Amino acid sequence: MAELRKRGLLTMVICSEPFLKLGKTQARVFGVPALPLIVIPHPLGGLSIDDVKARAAAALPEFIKLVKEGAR
Amino acid sequence: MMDMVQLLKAPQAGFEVEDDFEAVNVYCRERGWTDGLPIVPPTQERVERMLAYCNRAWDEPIAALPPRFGAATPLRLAANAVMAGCLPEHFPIVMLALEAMSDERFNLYGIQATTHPCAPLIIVNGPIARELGINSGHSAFGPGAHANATIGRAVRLALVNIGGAIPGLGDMSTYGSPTKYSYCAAENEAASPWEPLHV
Repeated sequence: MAELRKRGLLTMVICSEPFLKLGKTQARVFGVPALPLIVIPHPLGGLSIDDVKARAAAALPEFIKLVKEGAR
Repeated sequence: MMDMVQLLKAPQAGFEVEDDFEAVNVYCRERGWTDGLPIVPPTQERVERMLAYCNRAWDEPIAALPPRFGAATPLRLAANAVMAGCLPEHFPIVMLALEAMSDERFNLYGIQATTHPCAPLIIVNGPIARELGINSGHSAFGPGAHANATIGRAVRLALVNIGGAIPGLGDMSTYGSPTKYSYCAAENEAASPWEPLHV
């Protein structure tokens, strides 16, 4: 994702809460500290399809906002 | 031999703490520099003894260890090897193992950060394994052999302290694994039905 961002593509990462610190650190390590991170509730494994849809719905407003802003 | 005093002038190259086994252990443990077990205090004298078995520049990185991509210099690796309880003659294997793991094809980045409970396994082949007493026989992956225990532990401490594979921050392994304490054995060439690993 960092490489895509460096190439100027619209980029963002969706991660669950426990992965936020890792995501922030890695964005910094790979030279894209402003990479948007959309946080959704943990966990992702072992969920029903409805719960997965709920996770997607949780991420959607921020996702749309970033796309509209042309987030890079 | 390089000038250790000069190298230790670099920012955060060393730390000062009361000359007491327990005090050093509390200091290191509180900073997350241990695996939870007591460490051997990495004094300047011990680190220099470890580096006596290093024929590279002490401050020249051997590898960049992910996910932090920290610079694995012999100086830093020697400190971790001391902490792990290695003998100086074990040190070349520690350096070599980490250099090998840093080969891009091995994908150490994925191994370090994954939610899977995997850990890199070091298998030592050849006469050096016998010279160092690396166990390849009964309980090769169990406790008992000093070389197996400390070489594997030194590599793990380096992966944490230099690479940043800190549980919950850079190491996202859901359950973790006892193999993340130490994971080193020798190849048992004499008893193996397969071609030796160096072939």
